[in-house]
Amino acid sequence: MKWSFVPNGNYQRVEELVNELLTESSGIELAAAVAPYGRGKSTAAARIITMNPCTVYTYFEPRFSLAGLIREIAFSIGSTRPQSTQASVEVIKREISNKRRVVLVDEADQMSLKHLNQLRAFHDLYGIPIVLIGEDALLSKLDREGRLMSRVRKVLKFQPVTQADVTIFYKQSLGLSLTPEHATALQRHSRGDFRRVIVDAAKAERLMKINGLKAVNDSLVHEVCKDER
Amino acid sequence: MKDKAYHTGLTARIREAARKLKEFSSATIMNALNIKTYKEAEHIRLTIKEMRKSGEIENVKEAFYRYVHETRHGRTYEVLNRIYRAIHVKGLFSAADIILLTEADKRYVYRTIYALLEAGDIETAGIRKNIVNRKEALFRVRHKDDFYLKFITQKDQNGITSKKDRKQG
Repeated sequence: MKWSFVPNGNYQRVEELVNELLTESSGIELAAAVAPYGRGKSTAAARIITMNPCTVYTYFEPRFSLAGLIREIAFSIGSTRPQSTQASVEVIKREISNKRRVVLVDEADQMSLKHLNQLRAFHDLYGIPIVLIGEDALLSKLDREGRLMSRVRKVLKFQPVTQADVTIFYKQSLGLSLTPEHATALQRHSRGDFRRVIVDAAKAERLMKINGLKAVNDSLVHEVCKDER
Repeated sequence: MKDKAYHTGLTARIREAARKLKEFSSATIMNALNIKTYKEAEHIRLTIKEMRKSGEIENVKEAFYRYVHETRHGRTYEVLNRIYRAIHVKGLFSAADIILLTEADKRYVYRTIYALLEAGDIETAGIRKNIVNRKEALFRVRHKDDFYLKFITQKDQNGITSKKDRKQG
């Protein structure tokens, strides 16, 4: 099986959002990307950071205090981690005015309202484009304060894996063409989780090798979708 | 066996001649390199065409070229930078993770990882079974901040991160 990145609809929407934040400054520069586990949020973020040098990544750890978060952002933007909070804020201010960058904050659902409000302050005072990435709890936290939610330009909800994603993945990684019926069955079996699509594809590859099959057929799909767990 | 392609260093010789001549035509390069056969002449023409495409030489007038000294040519570091960024983001990674994120050539990714390992910037972190039950070696960035400063931070001419700030950290 060939490992390949599938730029599915979710990834494309996040990429579009980041590009929009980088090029258009409308005064509302906050955005959120939310989804339950297994939808590829962190992979999409890692991919965007890798491919786009105008983005910086901050992973929010639950141990972070407010000062810790500010220092972490100062380090990812300005490559320095001053001890005083004021010096960190100065670094962020100077570096952002020097070059516009989008800050992607992963695990933002773990943040307290205090942390989220600090990011709002960065957005208001220095116009920093920020994309908050997290699970569904993030939305309820943003909703709790109207002034936070009103600054969110767009909320992206990661959709479950689609039939098209499954078809593209099988084509790219195994070189196999799926009929719409087979793709639907495999997509239903994955329950929207991309990790399950990969496991199923590996199982399909193994079964095809054992049985000397060259193309996907009904019995193979049936065997793959048979749950062993 | 007669037509087997082998490394002749033709591009390097053309580059050297072009650098000396500054402005030239294909014929002057051929004279400078003492080309005698039609086959070699054809290779010269094709190489000049490729160098023009890459921007290493530019057209002055029809069939007359100029070597552009100042700009950097050939290898770009975009893919390498992508690999460094992917390593930084992942922290703990396998080669497959980096290939997936960067779309870089498998051998290039392995070469970069082992060069970093040798330099002590990353370390081995064991072996794991991946999602399709295959074993793969794991690596870990030794000092995340040092790695970021060494390989990812790119300051422009008027970069504003001062030494004073760094000492404070």
